[in-house]
This record gives sequence, structure tokens and C-alpha cells, in this order.
Amino acid sequence: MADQKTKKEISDASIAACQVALMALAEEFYSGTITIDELEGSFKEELKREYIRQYLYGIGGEQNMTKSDWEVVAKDLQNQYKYAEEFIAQLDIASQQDDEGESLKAMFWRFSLYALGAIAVYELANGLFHLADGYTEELWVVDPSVENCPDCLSYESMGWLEIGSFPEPGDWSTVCGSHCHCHKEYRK
Amino acid sequence: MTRKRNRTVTKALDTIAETVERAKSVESHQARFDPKTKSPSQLFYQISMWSKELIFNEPKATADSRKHDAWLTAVVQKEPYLLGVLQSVVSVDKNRGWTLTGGRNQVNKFTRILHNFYVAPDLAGWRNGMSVTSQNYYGTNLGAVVEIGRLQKNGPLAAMYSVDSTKCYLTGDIEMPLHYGNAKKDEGSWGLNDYFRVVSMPSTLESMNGLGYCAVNRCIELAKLLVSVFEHDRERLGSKAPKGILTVNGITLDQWLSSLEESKSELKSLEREYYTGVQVLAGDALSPVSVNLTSLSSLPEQFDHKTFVDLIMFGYALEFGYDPREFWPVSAGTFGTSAETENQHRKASSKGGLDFALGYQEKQQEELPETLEFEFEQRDVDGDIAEVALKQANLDLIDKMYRTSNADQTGTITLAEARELLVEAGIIHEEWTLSQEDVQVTDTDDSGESETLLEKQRIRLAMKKFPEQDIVRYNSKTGKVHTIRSANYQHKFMIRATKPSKSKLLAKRNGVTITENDVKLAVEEAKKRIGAKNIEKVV
Repeated sequence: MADQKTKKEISDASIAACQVALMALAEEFYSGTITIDELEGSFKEELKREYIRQYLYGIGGEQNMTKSDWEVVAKDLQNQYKYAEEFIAQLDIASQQDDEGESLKAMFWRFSLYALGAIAVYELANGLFHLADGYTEELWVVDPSVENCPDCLSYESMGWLEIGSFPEPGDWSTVCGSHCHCHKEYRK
Repeated sequence: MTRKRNRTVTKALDTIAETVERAKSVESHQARFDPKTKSPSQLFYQISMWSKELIFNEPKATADSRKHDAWLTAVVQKEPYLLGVLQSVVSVDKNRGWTLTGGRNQVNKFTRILHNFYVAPDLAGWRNGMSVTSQNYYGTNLGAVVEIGRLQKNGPLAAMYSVDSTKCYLTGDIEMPLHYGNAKKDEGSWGLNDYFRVVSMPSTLESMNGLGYCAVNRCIELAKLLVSVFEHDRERLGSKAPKGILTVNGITLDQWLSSLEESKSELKSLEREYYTGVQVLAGDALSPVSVNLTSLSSLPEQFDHKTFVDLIMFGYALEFGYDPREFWPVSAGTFGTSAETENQHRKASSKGGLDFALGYQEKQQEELPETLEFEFEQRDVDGDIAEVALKQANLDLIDKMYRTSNADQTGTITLAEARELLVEAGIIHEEWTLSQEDVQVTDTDDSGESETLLEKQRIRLAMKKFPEQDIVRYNSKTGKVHTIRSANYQHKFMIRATKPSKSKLLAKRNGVTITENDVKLAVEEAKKRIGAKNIEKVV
């Protein structure tokens, strides 16, 4: 099994690829290649696959998945689908505006945010994997290359704590929301 | 009190206005509908003189084509035969049917755009757009320019607008090759993303920046000849003196000029040009008066007007790339046999005007997504009928061979052999030989044509890109959408694969289901996106 750093890199690369795929869908809708209904279907499908992948990366593969794990993924997806449906409805309204597509273009950046939501799924599964493997403590690690929010800096300052003490990076428990660049490390 | 008085005054004014309006009767606000503006003779005189002066007053052809193109546009309106030819070819182009083939969504979207070709604020539509575009192609050296509207820079085609070619010129700038209007260079410059241009006979001269040589321009020398003949006729028919040497005996020069002046003033006062009064020359009895005119520019003896006009029309037809019979009633015999006429008709119906149509089609195609196929109708109806007749003859022959019994009471050919012959004759599709179905010959859209369409690169791309969509073809003439291949198409003669077993359900919540198949697809996609080796490390 890969080390934590490799797992995190693969998780990040996967999310970046998902963002590209979602933006491609946005372009297709914008150019009229797909309808709003097709956009919604493809959008949800893309999210579903990414959430599954992130959970698998975190938990260490399909062989480690239990019934309750799949239920967790489905529950997270259910929430995301609800937001996605609202977003698509807004897109539909924007696409009918007679403003040469300006309203529509202004909403495009939001497509990529939906992929970032999967970060929390990875972190949750990763924590469960380590817990099952006998790890007892976790550490909040910030990304020094970006500007970090006060919540993340506060968690970092707490040092090593018992597993389950910190929330999951990217789950909107911190001010930075889904833009969180932090991750957790574990030790026995 | 004041309010009541105001109402009374207003009512009175309305009544007066209404009375005055009735007294005037209904009239247009446009001067051209005022019957008092010009008398018919004045109008004819003005048009006649103006067209003559106009056609012989050609501006110099330069890379900045605006002046010359404006002149061409004006000239063609003054030569009725040339205008008739132009009208005919434009009519062919604007009424030419087209098809758009691809995924259903894209076909629906872009059909709407093509049918909203903007020409004027109150005029839009494919036929209007093509009418103006075709006129520009045949009537200006710059050619036809179509402005492309996009929702974003480099975005897909969102609207099409016709352009007045006489307001544009070619800059020779590779980034901004066209300039529109009188705006400053930066403001009026258009890049390749802003428009497309279709031009007839683009110049080989580097200095002309790709300016063309349009059909009307090619016809101008012929038009000049025709106008000259008209002028000659006018001189002969009327009282105008042709160019020549006049010898007058019996009177002095002063007497002759005085007589001419009187005649002219009478002509002017009566507004008569062709049927003037009699010019009177009176001499004394000793020296009889004689007037002899030796014409320097006269039509040859035995000059036949009909043959001349026929030849001019043939010249026009040649320049426009059409058969003369498209525009002009030519009797068989002098210019061709009846069989030749038939061939020419067939050629014209399938080929006429394709120079413009194919040029436009190519440019239009470039502006559409790579998954759409735009095609103008090029069907040769006579050819299609002949082809169907040939297929019917082949079918009859093969059928006879199959049914004929030989000595062993077995058919001359077997069913499989018969079907093979039918394939060779192009009557049935190759794959059909695997099945046993009745065959019918048809001249309508058949599966053969659909198969040919499906082999086109753009349509194959559409099938690949939109597997969940029907592949359809829109026909502008019928306005109908015809499905070429359904999204759930299964080749009818292929053995169906075993239906995959239902994927195992892993989780289900309101609106969300996760199956084993979802997991499999998610992992496969990840391997494609970030590498199989990477993924195998973590899952």
C-alpha cells in the first residue's frame, strides 16, 4: 500500500482531473452541444464517480469497503446532488437571459467547486483506514505554499491529538470551506 | 371649468384634423408613390441617359474595391438582361435545399441559427440571407461576406449577419484581413473569427489581397456592347443624329444650324424625343436642297438583333456558369439538338451554380461544430430516376435467374448467390446477405444512403461523441428531421451480445444509487486519467 504522501498526491490529481471534466461539461452546455437535462445527468455521474474514487483512495481499495462505507458515500452524494440540482436550475435560468451569455459565464467557476467537495470524503476514509490499522493519533498539517485560514492555523497549533479530534479538511468546518489545502497525518 | 374647456378644444381640434385627413384621402409618406412627381417620359429619359453614362464610366479596379463594387452594383440594375440573369441565379441559390446531419441536440440548435440569417432589422431567414449573399458573390469583386456572431471570443457560431460588400475592403493584414465601413482602422478591422468570405475567381496578383473577379464584372464588356446596340437603335428609331459625316447641298451652314436649333427647341418644349415634328429646310428653286449622311458607326448589314441578343445571353450564361436555357428561351436547331438540350438541362439541374454553393458550403462547414455535416442539395433528379430504373432491371434479371429451373429442378443460382448479385448491383447492403428479407427498390432516402452518410467523418465523430443521442438529418426543403440512426441502435443482422447481468447494488439513498458497475467505471476512468500504475498503488 502506498504511503500517505503518495495517496494524497493521487487524490489531488484525481480531483484536478474531475475539475477539468466538469469544466468540459460546462463548455459543452455553453456551446449547445448538450442540453440542460444532459448536463445534469453527466454532472451527477461525474460527481458520483469522483466521490467513489476518493473514498477508495482513502480507505485503501474496494476490499476494505463495508456496507456502512457505501452508505456514507451515498449520503454525501445525496447532499451534493441537492446542491447540484439548485445550481443547474440557476444555470438554466441564466442560459435564457438575453445578455449574450454573460450570466452563464459568470457561473462557470462554480463547476470546479463541486469536485473540491470530494476532498473531505478522502480525508474521512483515510482516517477510518488508519483507525482500523491501529493508528491512535492525528495531526492537522497546513499547506505552507498557500495562505491558510485562522481555523486551520489554530488546528495546526494543537499538535498531535487522539484520532477523531479534528474535523475533516474541506468539510466546511473551517472558514476556508472546500478550498482547504490541509491534510491529516497519523501515528500509532 | 378650465378642464371642461380644454376637453372641448381638444375635441374640436381632433374633428378638424379628421376632416382635413379625409379631404386629403389616403396617401403614402413616400415620394415614390406620388403620381405627380414625374411623368413617364421624364422617368424613361432619366433612366436611359443615366444608365448609358453609368456603364461607360467605370472606376479603376484597385485593391480597395468599394468604389468599383458600388459601381458594379449600380450598373447591373440598369441592364435588364444582366439583371434578369442575376435574379435567376440568386433564385436558384436561395431556393437550394440543404441538410444538416449530426446529433439531435446540435442539429436542433444550429438549424435555428441558420434559419435566423439576419439581413436587416426587420428581415431575417435563410432565404433572405442567401439572396443577399448570392448577390454579393455574383455582383461584387470582394465577394460575399457573412459576419459571424459569437457569444464569446472563439466560441461557437451563435448568429449570422449579411454584410454590404460595397462597404468593405481587403487590407492584406494577416490578422485583420477585412475592413468594414468608414471607421478608423482599429475599430473597423475584422479578423478571421469575425466573418467568412466566398469569392469568385480570386486574383492571382499579390497586390489585390485576394480580391475576386465576379460574374457581373466579367459580363460588363458584353453589357456595354448591348447598351451600344440599344443606343444605335435609339438613334435610328428616334431623331438623334448618329456619328457620321453629313453633306448638305443647296443651303448654307448657318441655315442648316438654324433649322436644327428650331427643331431641337421644339423637341425640348414638347418633351418629345423619338417622334419629333418635321424639320423644314427651304431653298430657292435654282439649287435643290439635299442632305446625305455617311454613318461612321452603324450596325453591319444583315445584322440580326435576335441572334445578337441570343449570343449576349450565351455569354452571360457562360460567365455565370449556367446553361443559357436557364435564363433564355433558345430554340433547338440553331444552338443544339433536342438531345443536346436535354443533356444541358440535366447538367444544369445538377451542376448549375455549384461554384457558389460549394464555396459557401465549405465556409459554412468550418463555422459549424466538427460533429455536424452541412450539405447543399446537389441531387440530379433525372439521374436518380435513371439509377432506380437500372436497379429495377438488375433486380428483374437476378430474380429471373433465381426462379429459372434447370434439368435437375434446381435454380440456376441459389438464394445466397442471388443475394450476392444483389449486393454487387448495389441493390441491397452487404450485411443484409446474412438475413432473409424482401428487397424493394426505392428512390427515397434508403438505408444505403444512410449508411453512406454514417461513413462521413463528421458524422462518425458525432456518433462517438454523443452515443446517447439519435443521429438525425434536417432537410431545409421539407423542414423535417429524419433519424438516420437511433441512439440505441443495434445492427439488425448482428448477433446480440448476452444481456449483462444486473449490477449489484451497494447503496441506495433518495436519488442516489451506487452499484458495482459504478465502482468499476470509476476506477477504470481514474486509470485513464492519472495512470493505471498510480491507481493500482492505492486501490
